[in-house]
Order: sequence, then structure tokens, then C-alpha cells
Amino acid sequence: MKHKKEKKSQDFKLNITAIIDCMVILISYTLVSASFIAMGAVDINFYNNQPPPPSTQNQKSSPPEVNVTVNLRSQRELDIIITGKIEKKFRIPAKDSEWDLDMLAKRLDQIKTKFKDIKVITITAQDSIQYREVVGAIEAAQKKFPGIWLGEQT
Amino acid sequence: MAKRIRRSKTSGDVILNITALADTMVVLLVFLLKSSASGALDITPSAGLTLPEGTGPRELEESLKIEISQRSIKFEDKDIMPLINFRMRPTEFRPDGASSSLVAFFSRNRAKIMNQDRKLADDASQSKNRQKRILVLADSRTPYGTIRRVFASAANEGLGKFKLVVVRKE
Repeated sequence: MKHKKEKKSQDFKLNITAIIDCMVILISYTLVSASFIAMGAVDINFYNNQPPPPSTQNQKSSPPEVNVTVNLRSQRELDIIITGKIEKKFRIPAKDSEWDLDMLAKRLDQIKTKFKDIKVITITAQDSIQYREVVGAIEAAQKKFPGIWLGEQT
Repeated sequence: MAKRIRRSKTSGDVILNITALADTMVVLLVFLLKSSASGALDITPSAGLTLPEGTGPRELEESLKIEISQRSIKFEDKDIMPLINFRMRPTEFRPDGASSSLVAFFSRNRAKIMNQDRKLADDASQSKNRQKRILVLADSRTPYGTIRRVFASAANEGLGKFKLVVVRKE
């Protein structure tokens, strides 16, 4: 008789405290281990058939002495072309079949040291070069020169 | 005895201890609030589109959007040009480096685009150094030739400033 009574009773307490505690720990681990995708952005300007106007280089003073163009070529070669007061061209060959972006940054640093008034450089690439490679070069150049113009290969 | 059984049968007094659950929710809420405050913009590229990796700063604001994927170019989530394996048809090429269909599109919609851009600029007026830059979500495998033609077409109509969206390398 007593046994029957206990079976039918719906008067119970559900103790879920322990399971919730476990969930809290699991969520903490999940949040710590999860890798959230973060987006960033790279600012560029584009010129069409006309080089960047001198006003974008240095608005208060005269145009810079030289213009610098980085050209991405096939075979992962990089050309740095300086025009203006001096005319010079550097070629940076591929390193281990990859773009030698460290050397690019080093060369641009040397140019920046020599010509302090340059604020903007131009990057061009051959049509077959992939976008990610262009972005890589833009980011390497942007460490030294904040203003980047993309353009057409001449 | 029979009376007692009946009472317990109809009783619906179930006490749920939700204290721990509430604690968890508070923690989650803090995380959600933090992420919504720091992430100014939710960008969702189309399926199959792989953005390039980069280290660019997280300076993304609501702006007009161009998406370049393997099969199409989209402007504000609307297809504006089909692509064949990331490439335009040769009939599209113009001597000035732009694409004839895209130039026509930007020319036709210039007023509308400028209005949209102005509205977005007004909405974001609280943010400093607001620049009208078009967000570019392009697949990392896209050849520069296609990118260049898209940019040249937009630049033809005075839209020459862009923000290249990258996935940040942490």
C-alpha cells in the first residue's frame, strides 16, 4: 500500500544544480578554445591611367622628390621603381619560391630613410597575380608607407 | 489515507533551482555584450568565398560592399556581373582598363550609390575620420586583372577609395 503511494506521487524536486555547474565549466572551456574569426581592413586608393596627384603625397609642402612603385611580377619577383629626382630600379627575386616580403620591407625602409617626404607609394601587379599575394605586398608596404595606391602595370 | 494520495496527485508544486543557470546566463550576457560592442559590423561573405589573410586593423564600418567570387561580382548583395572562374569575358575589356558592363552599372546607379553612401556616412557621423570607402570582399584566388578592372570601373565614377576586407591572422 505504501509502495503504491510513492509511485503515483508527482511531488518531486528536480535538482539540476550539479549539471548546470558542469555546463558552466564546459562553456568556459568552449569559449576559451574557440577561435573567433576577426575581420580587418586595408585601406587603398585606385588610380586609373593617372598617377596619384601630388596633393595626396604631402598636402602642406611641395610634391616629393621621388615616386615609388612596387611591381609584382610573375615568378614571384618584385620590382621597386623609383622615378623623379633619381631613377632607380631594384629587383627582389623570390626566396624559396615565395615573395621576399621581408626584403621588400627592408628596401622600402631604406627608401623611407633617404626620402622622408614620401607618404604614398603605388603598387601594381601582373594580371595573373592572385589577390592574396597583392594584399600581402600591400601590407608589407603599408608598414613603411601609410598611403597605398593600386594601379595598372605600365 | 485515500484523501492524502489524491492531494499529492494534483499537486504541481515543482521547485526548480535556477540559480546556477542564471549565473551562467549572466556570464554569457557579459560576453555577448562585449562582442557586440567591439564588433561594429557583421560581414558575412557568400559561401565558398575565401577572404585573404592579413593583419589590417579592425576598422570596419557600415559601408557599400562589393563582393568578388568565383562566379560573380555582387554590389550590395545583388549580382551585377557573372564571372567565369574569377575572370571576366574578354568582350568586357575596355582600353582604359575598366569593364564596360561595370562602368555602365556604376554610371547608371551613380546617384543612388552616392545617396546610399551619404546616408551611411550620416549614420556613422559619430565615428571619427569617416571616409567613404567601398568594402571589398574578394576571394583570395581572384587574379589581379579582375580586381583591377572592378576598381577601375568604380574609380571612373569617382568611387576610387576602397577597404580590402581580410581575415585577421591572430
